[in-house]
Amino acid sequence: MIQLLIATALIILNFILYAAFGSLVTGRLKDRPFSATVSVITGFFLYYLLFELVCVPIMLKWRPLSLLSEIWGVILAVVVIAAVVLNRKLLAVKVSETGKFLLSHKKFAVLSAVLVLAELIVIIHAYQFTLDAAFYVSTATTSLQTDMLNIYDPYTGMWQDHFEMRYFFATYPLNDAVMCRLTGVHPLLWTKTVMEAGTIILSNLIYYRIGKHLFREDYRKTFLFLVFCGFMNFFFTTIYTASAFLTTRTYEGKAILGNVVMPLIFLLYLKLIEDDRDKMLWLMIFMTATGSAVLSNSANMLVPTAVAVFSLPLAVIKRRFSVLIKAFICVLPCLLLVLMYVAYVRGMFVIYTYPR
Amino acid sequence: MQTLTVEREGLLYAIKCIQYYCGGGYYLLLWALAALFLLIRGTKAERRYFVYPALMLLLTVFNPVFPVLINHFFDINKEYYRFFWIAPVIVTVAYTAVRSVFEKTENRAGRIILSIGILMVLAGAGTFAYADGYTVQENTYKVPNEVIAVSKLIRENSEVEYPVALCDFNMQMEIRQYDASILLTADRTQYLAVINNEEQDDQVKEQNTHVNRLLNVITKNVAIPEEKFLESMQETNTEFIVLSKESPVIDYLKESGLTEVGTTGTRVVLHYDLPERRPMELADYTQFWN
Repeated sequence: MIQLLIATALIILNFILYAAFGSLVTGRLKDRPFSATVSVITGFFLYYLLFELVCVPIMLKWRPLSLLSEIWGVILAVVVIAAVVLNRKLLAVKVSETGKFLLSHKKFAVLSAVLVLAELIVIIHAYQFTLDAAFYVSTATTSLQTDMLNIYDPYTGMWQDHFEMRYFFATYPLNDAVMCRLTGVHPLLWTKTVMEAGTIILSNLIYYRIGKHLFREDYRKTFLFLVFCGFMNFFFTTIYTASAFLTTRTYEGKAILGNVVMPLIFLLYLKLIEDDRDKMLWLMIFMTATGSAVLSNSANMLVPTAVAVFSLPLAVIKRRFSVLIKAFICVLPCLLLVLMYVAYVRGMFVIYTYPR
Repeated sequence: MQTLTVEREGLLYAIKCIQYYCGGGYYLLLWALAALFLLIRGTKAERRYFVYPALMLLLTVFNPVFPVLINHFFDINKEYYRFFWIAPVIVTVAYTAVRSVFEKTENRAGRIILSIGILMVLAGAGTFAYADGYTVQENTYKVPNEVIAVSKLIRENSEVEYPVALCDFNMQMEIRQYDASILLTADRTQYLAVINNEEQDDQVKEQNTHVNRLLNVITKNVAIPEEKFLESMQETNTEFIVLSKESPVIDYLKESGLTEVGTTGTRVVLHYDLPERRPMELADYTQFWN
């Protein structure tokens, strides 16, 4: 019971952190209303993008997890304080607005909450034996055990003489290790309950935003849309589908890639159809693309392809070549990471875990 | 998709990937039907939202030429199926379903009945995530209680900080998720190569001689001379072997000098007193920090 309470508190903490990161961007925008869900989604990618920028140099210098944790702890504190101070006026207004929204759409809010809660209970309560957990969860436990970052093989615990580039920039499991160190919880509780819940909620938030956009804020239709989406995720489940990753391998970065990043790129495409010159939307695509590289190495191929698939029709619809240029700039970091990985696979460079 | 390669399948690769991806289900077909419906009956906005991206996807990731083309630059054999995640299958089908429910009937009861009908179609078009049974987690760590019990037994019976163990496959995959202070003799690739009889090139085979030897004993009951087995235990620094109680090699292991230190529900933990102990220590990186 205590573990459950701790996990619940940590799930809430995660969303407060994402909202704090996001509000530093969304709270500054004067030309559009502040949205809590947009702040959380934006914040999630900003959070991981910033984590990558802090983590990689520390890893390259063979510094310990404890140092990364201290630095990240300070950054989190600074971001939360900055978000509260800078958005203090906005916060009061928004809390009251959110309260009013929930009261005026009581039925929708309650039913949606019940739906997401049901998904959470079913998925989190299940035991799943998946091979990849031996890598992803063990990366966090190994990092905590050795106080080092990617130096030891998570499968065996043995020292490695070089970094495996496939996972070098996908620092998502290292963030799990950092948060376990900061909060003191076991990586299994963190990855398989706290982060699982986070992914399921984020995925539903994006479905909510898509539904809200498509049905022009008709909440009856949006709720039914959420029901169908949630239901299909339990039935579109061969071992390869994104839904299978959501229901069985939720703790992996790939689950976020398939169930948060891909629907988010689609949502941004829907928004861009209305206004392809909205800089904030392009910035969001850039953050999503770059932040996704942290989640899984696959993102570096998948996100540029997805952006291309949606921006080509957009360029045709809008009859603007500049759409393609903007799209290319957004995915450039992913493409550079792909080239780097190809160079590594072809033996053009190796990053050693010791000075040579 | 481990068994498919672009080199072998050529233009059929994408089609076979789609078949694997769908299993016996019809979700991609539902997506195509929904897009077709919106192409014919949809508004201009709906066509822009759903039909144009679907056409782009048909021309790219679902196009048999696409994987052949990109495989020249990157090895996409194992992970091509992830490109199918780009297709907004769930969103498109859900949208079309909601649109149909609200278009077809005005009254609440009618909508509820139609929604239930659609849910039944959606259930029939795929496979339930827990069709093979819903296993409830045994504890908040979401690993079997036995994993915790085995790791406790190993810790209690080891004199070193980082004991090395070789376990049956499932235990091997889970024990370090719970306790990373327990090191493992074999990694996942080595383990799978042995149990799946995968061909290993000579260099890899030589590197893995001792690990392969131990894995062959515990997973395939391959009888090898006792001194060779113990040599491999020593070379790999393996102190513990964890196996199912039903394993036919337990007697062989005991005859070779391993002692039983305890049992859990279905497993037995055996200990080998290494003649020459080389305890693993963490590398000292502090010297590089200045």
